[in-house]
Parts: sequence; C-alpha cells; structure tokens
Amino acid sequence: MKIIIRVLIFCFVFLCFSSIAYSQTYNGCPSCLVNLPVMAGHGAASSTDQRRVINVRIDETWGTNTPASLWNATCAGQPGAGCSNATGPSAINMWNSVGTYYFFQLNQVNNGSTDIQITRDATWSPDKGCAETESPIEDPISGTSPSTSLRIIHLPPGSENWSQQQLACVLAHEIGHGIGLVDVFGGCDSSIMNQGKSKDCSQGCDKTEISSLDVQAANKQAGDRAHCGSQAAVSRQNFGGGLSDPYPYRYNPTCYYYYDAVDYYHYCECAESGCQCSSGSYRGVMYVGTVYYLTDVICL
Amino acid sequence: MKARSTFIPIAIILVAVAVLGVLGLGGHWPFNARRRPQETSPRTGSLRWYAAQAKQQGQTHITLLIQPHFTGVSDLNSVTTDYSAFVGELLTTSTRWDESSDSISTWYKFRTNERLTQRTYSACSYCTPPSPPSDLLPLQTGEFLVSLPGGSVAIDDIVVQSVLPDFTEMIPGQNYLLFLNFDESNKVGYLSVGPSGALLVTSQGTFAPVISAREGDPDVISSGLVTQYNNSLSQLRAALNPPPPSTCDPDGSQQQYCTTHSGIWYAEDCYCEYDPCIKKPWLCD
Repeated sequence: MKIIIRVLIFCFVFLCFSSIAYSQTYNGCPSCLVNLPVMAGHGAASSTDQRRVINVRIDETWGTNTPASLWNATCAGQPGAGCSNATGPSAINMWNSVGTYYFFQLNQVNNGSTDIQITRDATWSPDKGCAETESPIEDPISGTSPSTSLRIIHLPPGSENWSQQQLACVLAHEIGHGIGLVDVFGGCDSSIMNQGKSKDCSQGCDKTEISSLDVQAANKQAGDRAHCGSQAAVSRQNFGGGLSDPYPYRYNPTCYYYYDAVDYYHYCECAESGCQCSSGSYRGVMYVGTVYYLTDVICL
Repeated sequence: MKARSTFIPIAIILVAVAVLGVLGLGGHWPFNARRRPQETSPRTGSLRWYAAQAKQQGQTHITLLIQPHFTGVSDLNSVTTDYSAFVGELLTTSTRWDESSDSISTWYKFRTNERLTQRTYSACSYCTPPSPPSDLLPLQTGEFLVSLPGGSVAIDDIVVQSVLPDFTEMIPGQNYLLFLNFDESNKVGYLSVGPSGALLVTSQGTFAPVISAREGDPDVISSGLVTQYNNSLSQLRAALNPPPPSTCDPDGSQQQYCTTHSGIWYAEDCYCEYDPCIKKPWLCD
C-alpha cells in the first residue's frame, strides 16, 4: 500500500512538472552549456523526490550575521532552520518549485560539501556588471574535468540593501548559471536568464518564477549537454607581455591569391614561323609567354 | 672547590635541557613565526583556492567560466542613446589578476579611428575603478582602454584561465565598433552591455559580432545593426551623426544611386566605393 502511494505521489509530481515543463516549446533559448560538468549532488532529496540535493551556502564574507534580506531571498519558504518560517520570494523556492534534476537547500556547514557559494566581493570592478557566477568547466580543448565543481555567485557591495524580490530574482538567475544556463540576449522574455532591461542593478529583476523554457534548458544540460547550444570559447593566453596563441588552428585561414596575367611578345619578321602579322606588313609580333604577377592576397 | 666541580656539569645539563626544550617547542616557539611566516590557506572560492585545488589534483591549469550579469538591452536604439560609440583599431591586449577584487581582466588598448557619438559617463557608485596594467600606459593621443572580465594568468604556478561564454576574442590589428560607458577622465571604457557591445568592422565596412550566435536568441545589437542600418558602418555613421547637405550632390541623387548599387558613399568628396563582392562574388559566399 505504501509503495502504491509513493508511486502515485511520484506520478503526480512528475505529471505536474511535465505539464509545466512542456507548456512552452523549447527552441534553444535559453541556451545551455556543453562543457559545464553536471553537479553530482548529495543523494536524493527524499524517498519520494529523487532530485539530487545541491548545497547552497552563504559564506563568511557577509559577516557573522547574514543580512536578513539575503538570507530570505535565498531560502524563504523552504525546509530548514531560518528558512521555513521566512516569507517572501526566494531563489531556492523558485527553483525547487519546478522539475529539474536538482533540489537546492541552504546548508551553512562549511565542510567541503558546498556546491554553490554566495559571496560578497568587497571590491567590485565596473566591468563585472550587477553580479557574476564563476563555474569550473572542462578544458575546452582536452576535455579534462575540473578539479572541483564549486560554483561561486559573486554579488557587489551594497547588494544586501536590495529588496528581497530583487535579490531572489538575481540569485535565481545566478543559480541558473550554476546549473549550466547562459544569459539571454534578446529571445525568450519569460526566461529567468533574460537579463532585464534596467541599468540599475538594485532594481528591474521582477521575475518570481522559473519558466518552462528554463526547466527544459536545465534538463537538457543535465541529461544531454553534448547537444547544448553554448560552449565556452577558448581565450588566448597572455603572459609577460608577449602574445602566444596555444590553439592556432582556430585561425587557419582560407586565402585567395590574385594575379595579373601579362602576355609578352617580341617583334619578328613575318617570314618567321609563328609570327603574327597584319596583312601587308612585313613585321609582326610573336607570343613569348605569360608571366603572372601576384597582386593581392586576401585571407579570411 | 668541590661545589664548583659539581656546578659545571649541572650547568651544562641545564643548558642542554634548555636547548632541547627550545628545539622541542618547534613551531610553538614564538620567534619561529617571525622567521617562517605561517601560511594561511586561501579563502574557499577565491582564484588562489581554485589554483590550489588544481595543484592538489596534479593538474597544471583550471578553466573557469565567468558569467557576469551585464546590463540588459531592449533594442539597438537604447544602446546608441546610452553609450558612446567608437570605431577603433585594437593595438594590443594585456591580462592581469587583481588579487584585491579577486578577478582576472583583460585590457584592450585601442586607437580611435572615429568617434561616432559622445554620451555621459555613468559611474558605478559601489565600484572601485580598476587600475589599468602599467604595460599599456601611458596612452598616446587618441588611444583608450577597454576592460573585459576574463583572460589567462598564472597563479602559484597554475594557469587559471577565465573565459566568457560565446566570446570569440578580439584580434589586434582589427577595427571594432564599440558601445562604451566611457570615462573621459581616465580614457577607460566599459562594455556595460557585455561583449555584444563590440563588433568587428570588416574591410567592407560591415559588422561581425565577437560573440557566437545562438539558436533562438538573437543578439539585439548585431541584429539591430542589420535591420536598421543594413549592417553598414556608413549608414550607422550617417544616422548617428548626419552630415550637412553635400554641395556637390545637393539633391542626394548620386548618393542614392551609390547606395542602391551596394556602394559606400563618401559625402565629403562625393565619391562612391562599390562593394568588392560585386567584382569578386566568390569572396562573399
């Protein structure tokens, strides 16, 4: 009887997630990453929920007392101390409400089991935008797996003063990066990976749920990432002021060579064999040969 | 005399015990800390920590994908309105690791070919402007710098390579159209909209993005340039900074003829340069 109930619960949950996940047709937006390894996680969420547990930790850079807005925006409404009684939108709640391979939980124990760490950068460069996620990936050339799978979500100083909605939305976007989704340039407006239009980092992120497109992209990455549409490009290496390209094959060009063909003649007596003469003249010209001069090379 | 003869061995033993005691204290001897500074382990998640993880696994490098949350773009018009537009030749690049912000940035040094628009710099209130690498300084007249996250550096003998998704790099010697949040005082520009705000300018005066195209997700800037300006620098230039009416072509008929025949119109000297693709179409397949 117990087994039947579990199967029924599983089917119900599966059908719910399926209906959500496929309510919009996935056309590749948002794109997912080929070379980001899938997080192994820490076992199943429960006996009836086979999603793998992913530990999220707010690290020590936020001080001894984590700002309430950040804490609530991370885990409000989810099981666990300090989360279940918190209200309002949260990034973990948004992701756990949909059917991906992952079940996120806030786990503040720093024992090496953290999968996604939320950190506050005291120094923030203007070229980093409003937030940033850093993920170790397979080497784009050799395919070597990275030595760790820890993802870091970087937030700028002052982000603790953003509204809970803003933080929850930004964190949900960054968690999306952590599970292999990439930013949306101009397509799929409903995606959490659509960056919004605001120039002000403290506002403009107004999404409160994960779209079915995001779910399909996340599941494609976790289940079939070889067919994802995005691959981290190889950047060139710069050391000591010199420039060396470790992967020059990328620039193997196709070249087009342009020649001017110049025919050469010399004067001759019309009586000579091969001498081309106009009628009535006794001198003409004889073809000697053609010389090709390289005039242009264009490599693409 | 006897007392003295027993005192010496006892003194030697005491000294020896003291010396052995000191040696036995080992790392606890307070002065050792001064001679051999205690090595602190890097903060978890820092670039130095990632390098240490790679070293522990016997690897020589680690590749990190960085995905900054850049300013969103609604359409090309908002970009041309908000950001200064430059066309510049990339002279050289330099990558540096800033330990204080724990980030790797690549700096690009450009020479201005032309400045299409000038917009007000929007400073970030919570940011610390990064210091440009000294090997790119000083800047000559007309030169400016652009900073983007990413690049490769060596940290504790491990190559830490930081990459942006879909970014295909910029090549020295090439010309680029750049939409920058430009700080006039330091001659530093930021691609606030990300790498999609940089486009290669081809020898035909057309644009090619430095990010890979994605299925179902058109890049607003490059697709806007195609739809609004026929992907043409001359048309963009004319729209952003319309020239005064030409004296040699007052009714614009020559220009009209030129552009309808795929030419590039130079209003200053009333000269039309035709697209080489017409002459050598196999180049444009």
